[in-house]
Amino acid sequence: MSLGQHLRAALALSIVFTASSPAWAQHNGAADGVQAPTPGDAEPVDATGPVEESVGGEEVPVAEVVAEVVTEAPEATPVEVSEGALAAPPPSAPTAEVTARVNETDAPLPVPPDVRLHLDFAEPSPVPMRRWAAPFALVPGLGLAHLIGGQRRTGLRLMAAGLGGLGAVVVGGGGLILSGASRRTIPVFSTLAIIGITSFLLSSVADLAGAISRGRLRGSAMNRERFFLRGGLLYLVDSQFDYGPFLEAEGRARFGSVQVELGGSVAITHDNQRFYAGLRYFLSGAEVRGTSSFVRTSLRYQRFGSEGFAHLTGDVALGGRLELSALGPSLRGMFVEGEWGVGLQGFGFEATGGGVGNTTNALLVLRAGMGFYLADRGEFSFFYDHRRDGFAGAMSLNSVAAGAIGHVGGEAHGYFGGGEWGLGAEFKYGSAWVTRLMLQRRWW
Amino acid sequence: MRKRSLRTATSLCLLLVASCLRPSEHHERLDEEVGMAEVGGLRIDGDGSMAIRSASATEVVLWAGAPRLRLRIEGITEPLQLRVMNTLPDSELSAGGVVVTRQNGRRRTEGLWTLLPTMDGAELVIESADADAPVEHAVGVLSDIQEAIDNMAEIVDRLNQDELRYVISTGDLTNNGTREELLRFQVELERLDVPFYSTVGNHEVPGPENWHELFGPFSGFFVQNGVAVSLVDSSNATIDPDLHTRMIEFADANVSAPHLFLTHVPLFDASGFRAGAFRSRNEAARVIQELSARSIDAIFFGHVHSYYAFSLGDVPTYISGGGGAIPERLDGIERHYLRVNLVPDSETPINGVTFVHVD
Repeated sequence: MSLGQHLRAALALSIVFTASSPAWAQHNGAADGVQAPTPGDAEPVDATGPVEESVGGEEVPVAEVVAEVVTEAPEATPVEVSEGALAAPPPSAPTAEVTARVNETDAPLPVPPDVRLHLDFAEPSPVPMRRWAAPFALVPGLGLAHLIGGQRRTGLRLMAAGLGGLGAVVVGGGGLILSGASRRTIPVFSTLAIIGITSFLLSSVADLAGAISRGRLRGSAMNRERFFLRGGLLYLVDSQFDYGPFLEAEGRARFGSVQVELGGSVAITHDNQRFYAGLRYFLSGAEVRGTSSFVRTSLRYQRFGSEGFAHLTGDVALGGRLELSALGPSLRGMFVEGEWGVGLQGFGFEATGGGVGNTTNALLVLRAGMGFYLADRGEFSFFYDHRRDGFAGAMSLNSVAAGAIGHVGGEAHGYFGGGEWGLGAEFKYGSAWVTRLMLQRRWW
Repeated sequence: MRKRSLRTATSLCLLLVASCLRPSEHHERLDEEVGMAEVGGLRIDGDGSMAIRSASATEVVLWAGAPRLRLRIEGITEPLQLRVMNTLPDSELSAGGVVVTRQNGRRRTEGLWTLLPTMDGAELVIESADADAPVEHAVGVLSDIQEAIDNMAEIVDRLNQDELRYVISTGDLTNNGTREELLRFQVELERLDVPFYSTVGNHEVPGPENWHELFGPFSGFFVQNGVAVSLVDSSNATIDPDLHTRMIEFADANVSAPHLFLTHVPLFDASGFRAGAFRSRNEAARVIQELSARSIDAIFFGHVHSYYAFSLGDVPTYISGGGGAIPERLDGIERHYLRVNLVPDSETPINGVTFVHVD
């Protein structure tokens, strides 16, 4: 394909012009260039800088940049790009320049200055991969879909994650068996085994997802808000407790790398209340919900008034998120995340005088999951969580392994038009079905 | 019509969703049928504490899951031999209040009685003469034999050296709950001079019908010599809601008696990181509150192949999985059982829980 064909195939640019202020507001807090604009977003962006960057020298998908031309007249005036230049620049002021890197070749794209450019990233061009290789992802842990499909480097990285996970399972599981699940070694071997299983499985999911999407997933990490508030309903189906629905509220406030978190749930028809307070320090990635790491601590208190007991859990954990585009361009739009830590839970019973100090039990905090960005307006993720001090508990199994496996779940949240208001939903399955629906608002 | 369909569909969905959360419900349904059969022209109606091994016009064979059995047999038209396995060595049978002479069985824990047609339909009670007498006695607690079945004879011989009234267990008697494994375990029990009453562990989960057929109830509740004993099925790391109701009703009915509570999976594992415990800590905490409020005297768990002594809700609690299954390493604990000394009429009805080495 010639450069021109690439451009025509990859770039269809309609420019938004307004006659209003030339001030370039930050879009969604985006920093350089045209990074991560939101489709259809009404906020202007700085149109300088590369649209895409090459990753490791491999071929990268070229973003189809589509924007809507809006003049003072309400109707949109489409302007096409041909051979890397605007076909019909509007009769405004002088020209600025937008550079789009296409297959490592710069292609200048003149755009008049004093122009508000809204860039709507449509579906990127697919990473070159053999489509028929996707079913090979069903062989887990080897990155076969990518290896056979022609994305060798990505495939090898996925294989490393899968086989590394398998190795951790062997060491962790073997250690558990040989030690007879000794109390002295259980934290290490359990951690290895669980992380190993999740790494093995998630590498397989990524192999399949990448082979199907071939890097065409839209969206990238949203910026991390400064303030956040959400409220809604929690509903449980639990064979052991007749909870009824809960009202929930949660708030977060971030001051640079430090985030304070508070939350509470109150049962509407039952005597049950739960409160949460947490502190999170971002070691990296505080500003954007992309690759990041953090250390956090929290206190959770729950009172079961109808049942006559209460508990208080304190924990500390290390965690983070990794955007999978770091492994390869076909994995654009996906991420893995997790946390590991320890906790201590104290219980008190009416029969023994109340409080939360009658009985204590340690807790292994371990969660791992994988997610997808939803067109720069939200995220969806699914996860495994090993802790069993919450509503979900461990998996309901009719099996020898009953009680050993934690719960699974999924969560999604997004913002209307990429703005401040949005919705969040979560479900979990373990010893109970847990579902949440929340209305949320963020401030920058 | 559309509204009704939607309501029905919603109810069905909720039922399906809720049923996924009751992995032991099947055990409860099977327990409702325990001790009842119509076979060989006989109708047997037991109290749920026995397994009917076989029945014909001339012989009925039962496996006792508790020290006291109550049943009726209808259709006795000729002398019927009643053989009860796993019964107390001094158990007696009364038919309609009349004591029937016990004949010698093949072992001390096997009772043989001949029932006459005149006893057709009469209430049969099999119990020891001192069943309601709060006499001092001791019981053994042994769990988690599993693959160590070949060495169980050593444990049985050690148990026989103790003067025990009976042995109770939290389960995991086998590795996979197969019929062959359960029958093999029964062979080993034939060496034991006293009966063995047990609930099921998670390793019996793969073959619930086998347990139901051979040993009867998954859960049992009885009072013997003034001590209440609860054997509660937690094989799936939870207590089914219907079983929970039975458990609470029995505890409420015997709140003034010393009470031993046994279940396989620990409510809380002594090592919280290991989490070899109930699937939900909230459920576990509720049970602890309920047991503590009803003055349960001691709680026994298995599942963890070691020994721990601690307390839950101020109730003395023991984890004892010393039957020989793959042991927890680095703890210095080998095969063992617990001897519980009981003085029912005293201020401290549990007069010591002793760790008894087998190795």
